[in-house]
Amino acid sequence: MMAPVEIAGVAKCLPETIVTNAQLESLVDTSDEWIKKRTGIHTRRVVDGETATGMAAQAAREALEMSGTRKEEVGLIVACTITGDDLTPSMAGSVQKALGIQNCAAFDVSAGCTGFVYALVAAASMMETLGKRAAIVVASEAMSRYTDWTDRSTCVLFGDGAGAVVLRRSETPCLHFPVLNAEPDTDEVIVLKKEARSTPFSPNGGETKQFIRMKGSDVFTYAVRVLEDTLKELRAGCGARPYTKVIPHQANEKIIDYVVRSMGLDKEQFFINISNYANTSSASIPIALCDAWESGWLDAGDRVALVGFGSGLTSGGAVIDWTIPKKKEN
Amino acid sequence: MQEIIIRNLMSQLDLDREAITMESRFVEDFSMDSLDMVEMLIDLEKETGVKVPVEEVADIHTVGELVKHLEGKQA
Repeated sequence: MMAPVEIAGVAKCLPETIVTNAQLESLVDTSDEWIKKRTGIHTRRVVDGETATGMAAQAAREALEMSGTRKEEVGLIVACTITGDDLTPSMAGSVQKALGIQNCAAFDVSAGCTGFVYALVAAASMMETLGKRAAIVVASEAMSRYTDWTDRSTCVLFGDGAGAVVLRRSETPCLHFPVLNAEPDTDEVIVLKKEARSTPFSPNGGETKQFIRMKGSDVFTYAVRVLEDTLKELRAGCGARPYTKVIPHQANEKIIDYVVRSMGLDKEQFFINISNYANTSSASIPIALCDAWESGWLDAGDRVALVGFGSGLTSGGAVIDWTIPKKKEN
Repeated sequence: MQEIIIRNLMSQLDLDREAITMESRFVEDFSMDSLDMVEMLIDLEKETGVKVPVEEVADIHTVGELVKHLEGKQA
């Protein structure tokens, strides 16, 4: 069971370096027009000195400040990433250290691009189990470190960044209808393989060359199926008070276009910012949530479906009742 | 099958019925790329129950060829 919680703060942190499609034309055989038409992506941010942990800490710090929550009230930090800086300590532990939070539970979630939804549900559930008043949920990715910049089919798709929210116990529950799912990736349609290094006792390890590999057509087929299924499941959960807005994982605008057409929805209901940031994996939903609020698209009283899908193969969603007034009215 | 394919192409590509003939070529006439083809196959699977992996249509260039391929799989 999840604790009754609201999102009390949201923030993002992006690397300064902006890479345009035109810049990629000098790396691989591609074009600005091709990338825009096939993905909706115009630019992406890439780390140059920034780290996944550093961006996570900055986003978490700003979300905490916005929420008005004291550090002492934070009982839990859940971080998600597939491109974290360290195997250990966890990114959550490093965020805890960076924020100077002395005592709380802290751990990471790995669920591909669905990571933020998994982390959100895990945090709200553990807040109930452990009796915590507030939690930080943060997603951060340095995808560019694991991108094969000679592979034109993947290198145009990804970007770096971090987003965070602060969950705080509320009188009225504002996080509803969690849906989490995973199915075996039998054909390895999205993988970032890690090769074991050689040791004195096992000399046949590989070189450490870790890149994201994707089978685009299969990923598209999977993504549109689970996005549609999850939206339907959330809509059924909402009953008489349906969600009116959707913040989906920003993987490819064509995925969203397909589902809009297939379900007969209005594209205006969907918040889309993939043109600026590309696919930031688990960070895309909290970054979009932050942009949606900062731009005035999101207002207090809105009922919003968050939906993720990605490697694993994972998928998931939840509905939030947004409680923070439009930024321009603050 | 012919009607189903034409109806789906009209919806997906926002085309008039008159624009689609059995000789219409997906790439040359409709500017479809591989993702567009995947979209079309997903739509057709939903409606007919016939699953066609995108690799299977690599050598299919026209609407008529697709009709024949799907009818063959359905039989």
